[in-house]
Amino acid sequence: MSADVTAAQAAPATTGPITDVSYRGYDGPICTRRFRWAPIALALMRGALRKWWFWLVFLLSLGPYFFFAFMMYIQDRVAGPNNPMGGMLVSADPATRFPMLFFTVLDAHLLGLMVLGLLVGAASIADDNKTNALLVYLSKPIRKADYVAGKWMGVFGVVFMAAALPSLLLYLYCFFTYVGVGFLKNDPWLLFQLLGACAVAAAGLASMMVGISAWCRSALIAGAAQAGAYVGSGVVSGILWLLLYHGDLTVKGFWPPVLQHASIGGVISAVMWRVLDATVTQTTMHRGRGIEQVTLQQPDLWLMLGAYAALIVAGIVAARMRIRAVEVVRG
Amino acid sequence: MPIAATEGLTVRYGAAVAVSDLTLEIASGCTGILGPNGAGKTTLIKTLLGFIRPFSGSARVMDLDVATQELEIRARVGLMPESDCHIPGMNAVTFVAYAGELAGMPARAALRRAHEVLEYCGLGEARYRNIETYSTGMKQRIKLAQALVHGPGILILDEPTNGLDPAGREEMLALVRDISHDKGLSVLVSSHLLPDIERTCDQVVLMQKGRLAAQGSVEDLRKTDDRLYEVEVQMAVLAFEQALEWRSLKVVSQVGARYRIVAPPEMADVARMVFEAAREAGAQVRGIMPARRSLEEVFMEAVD
Repeated sequence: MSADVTAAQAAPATTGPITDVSYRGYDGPICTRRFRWAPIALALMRGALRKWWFWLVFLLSLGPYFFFAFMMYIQDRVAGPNNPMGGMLVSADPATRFPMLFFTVLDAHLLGLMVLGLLVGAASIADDNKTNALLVYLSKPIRKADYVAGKWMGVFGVVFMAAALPSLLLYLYCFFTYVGVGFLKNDPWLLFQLLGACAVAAAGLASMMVGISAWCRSALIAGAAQAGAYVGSGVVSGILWLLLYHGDLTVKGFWPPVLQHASIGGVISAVMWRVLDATVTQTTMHRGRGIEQVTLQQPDLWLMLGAYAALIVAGIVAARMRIRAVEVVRG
Repeated sequence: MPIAATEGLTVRYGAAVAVSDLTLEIASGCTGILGPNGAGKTTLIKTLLGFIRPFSGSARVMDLDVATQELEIRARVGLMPESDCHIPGMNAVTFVAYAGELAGMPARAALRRAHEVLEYCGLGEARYRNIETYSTGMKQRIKLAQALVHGPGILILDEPTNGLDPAGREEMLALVRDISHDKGLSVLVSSHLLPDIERTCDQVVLMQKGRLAAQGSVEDLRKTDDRLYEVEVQMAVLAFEQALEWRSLKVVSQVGARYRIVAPPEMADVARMVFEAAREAGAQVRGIMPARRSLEEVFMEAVD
């Protein structure tokens, strides 16, 4: 005891009013090493969810949900479900209506999800690179894989929540409104398909964000690169599709839908489409045929699944390759 | 059991050899790793933490192999890096608690422990401030706090007084000494500031060009052979120096009234010779003692 008091008096840095100079070793519980990524993911999610501008962007991104919910209401209450104009935005056929609705809404929400993912993901690793925080992480008993998994899960969690929360609310709206007209009977697995589609969007975006962020030392540059990759690939595939197929949705074959989805957003959208198993129709204006409802052709399943898997793996591998506690310059 | 040991350790960066055939044992207590730039100090620390794989040879920390058990090692070791490192947007208590969670502590225990460690490191009153607003001295302390939070057995401090003003340096050195001498942690301090090592460490490892130049306790390294003495007189007089030389006592240096002399091996009673020389020169001897080298001299000798 007296030795402790002497040590306490000798310690010069303890001048606070509630000074605790009795430093001692930690002998409390230690969590299993299997979930070391969890604090990293939670810290990333907490950091994002505490920012007011994250919620502002989230609210702004909900536009498609409000729009489509309103259109459904108008269809049912004003135009009536059998009105020929009723299927212009959302199919009036009860058998295909809801998968199409949720796919269309999620597809429209994808850009908003990308922006939300950007807010969380751009700085996820780039800021750690900038402030040498990797030394803090990797000097603790965690693997590089734990670190990447934590960051990935953090971005995934936020984007998934941003996609799933409004989707579930819309689902509940549809459930309570249409349960009497076969909502559950026609699509008994729709809730799980919906959550699956949200997970597809979140996983694709998380991989892209984490992969690019790991190679940057500034969140701004990472954000620009991520937005550039997402929007740029979409613009290029759109231009190619317009040039080759004149934007004609009625052209069938292997390549037209593939080219239409040959972008990061397109690949994610194509896989979501498959998960929701939606029959999607779109109203188009044709010079010769006038206004017509076209059933859109899905791109090749295996090609899109392969591209999606490549996106996921490439992002994680790119991040894993770049993560190191110390810079080793090979002489 | 040594806290760290290497056996023929060689670490290469491509063709460049950073550590070459290094064999050493570091005992518990406070040990300083000294060496000029490029000596391999930081490479040795990185290797001991498992950040870099050895090219050949082996290294063990607390009897754990750095090549295969790096996670177990990092669970028992706390690192205070040389460079600034923090997680943006966090205040001190969140940051230190987060570091504890990364080490596997449950969230509540990590938070409680973060408060304790921040108090100990002298950041108790600034614990809710964002780290980005901290001064250099506070950033050094927060790095120490995050290294201590999980209660490591070994603490590795890389240039702990980097960028600190004299008062901050004094406080940091006192903290390091308290941790190593009163709290039972083994501490490895890498520094090029010899006074820091001299004040905090009991053992020193001197490295030069990736090799071990010298190793031992600070006391042992500072010892000289029995022929070197320090003589202090009341006032320096030229005649005293001449009288010493006439008696084969060579003056190797003089600072003020303090002489450092070398006695020939065959001389039996050096003190009597010094007093005779003083009486002859009219000087008053205030002290005579076997000389001890400064750590700087040890360092320069080893490096040369």
